[in-house]
Amino acid sequence: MATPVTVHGPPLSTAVSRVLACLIEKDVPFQLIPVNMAKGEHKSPDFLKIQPFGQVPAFQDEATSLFESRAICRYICEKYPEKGNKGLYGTNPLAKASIDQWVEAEGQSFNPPSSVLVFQLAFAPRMKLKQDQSLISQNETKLEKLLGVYEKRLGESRFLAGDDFSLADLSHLPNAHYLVNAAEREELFTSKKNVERWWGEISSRDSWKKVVDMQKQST
Amino acid sequence: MVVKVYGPIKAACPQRVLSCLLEKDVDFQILHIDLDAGDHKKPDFLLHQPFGQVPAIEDGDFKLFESRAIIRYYASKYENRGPNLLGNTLEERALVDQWLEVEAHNFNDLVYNLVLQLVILPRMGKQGDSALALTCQQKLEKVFDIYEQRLSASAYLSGDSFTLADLSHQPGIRYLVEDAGMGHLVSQRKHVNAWWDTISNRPAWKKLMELASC
Repeated sequence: MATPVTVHGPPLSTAVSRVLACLIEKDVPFQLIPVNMAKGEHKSPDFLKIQPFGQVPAFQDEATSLFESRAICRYICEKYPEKGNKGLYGTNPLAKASIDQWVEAEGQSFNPPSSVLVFQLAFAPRMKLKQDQSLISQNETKLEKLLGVYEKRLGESRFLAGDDFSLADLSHLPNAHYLVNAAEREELFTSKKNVERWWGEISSRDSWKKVVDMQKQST
Repeated sequence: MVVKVYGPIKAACPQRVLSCLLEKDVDFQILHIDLDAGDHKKPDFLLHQPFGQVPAIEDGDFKLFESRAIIRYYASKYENRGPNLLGNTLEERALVDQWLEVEAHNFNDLVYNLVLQLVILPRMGKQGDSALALTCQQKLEKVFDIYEQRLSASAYLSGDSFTLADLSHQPGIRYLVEDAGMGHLVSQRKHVNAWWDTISNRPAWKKLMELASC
């Protein structure tokens, strides 16, 4: 029987890998349809029908068609509450609010500078594009300051939103993984005691290891 | 219990929260934060919002920051009061969330940077970057084209009813239309124009504008 959950996009994409991590945490079987971005497949008329902004991922679950990785993650958690990690999006409104708060912090404060750094340090060289040193320096400073706030927070609780691993921590995995493993910026995480402890825990989860495997297999 | 909202009433992110609280008829008290004086970076405020940003809320012992997390919380807490801002079915809720994410990631930064260069920096007596403003404007044109397409298929972004997805856009579009001289981005698109006309005439939004003009 064909699995009804489909993700469109390359596993190397940070946003795609966010969704994959969530699906694996929730033990929801899925099919991954590759999208060749180098060939511009994400801008093809067919793809624009399922993601009008021409971005990855796009997601389908039976008749439901969605985009935006964080919206997809929330949907997966709401649709399959009894599967896999049941507490991933909280089991009560206050827990959920705390998770939403830190997912938003990831999306609004962590994602922008980390995305720039990942692109400049990991992808630009591979694409033979010139790096912008001033942009790198500005965003390193931003991220350093941000992780200072995380250091304090992670001294108060084991994970960002509370004592359990949640969507909030998961949401950070894709960019942080590249910063540590492809951009030579491990020190951002290892120079702070609590952040280092947190990074060690979240990056060694089985679900994330499986996503990294999928990324390696796709190259 | 009155919800304390920390932030200036004229700033976009606090307005996102206030619009939601007004829609849901939730009593609130605004604790003004003077951004020009750097109140948001002072130790007292950092206890409410460790990144030094507005807004933050306090509801009894419960504290929360990030405007889009706050509106999700209150839309859910008061689901059965006033308009349903979340959607009824799982799929409807997912679409609301999707367009809320679109606002956060495809719309907000462009508006923020455009308004910063054209309005905020000049107000502070500084030079805005007109090349950056132009780039933002061009990208916003493309985003609004997609909104136009979407709104030709449904009256609101996520379907037939006003939801958090539409609400989240109110502060940014107001800035574009009323302060940044970018009204044409809206008025030149038939469905976007009708949508903005509708959502900006909601009693809750009008009430907020009244409060903000005092």
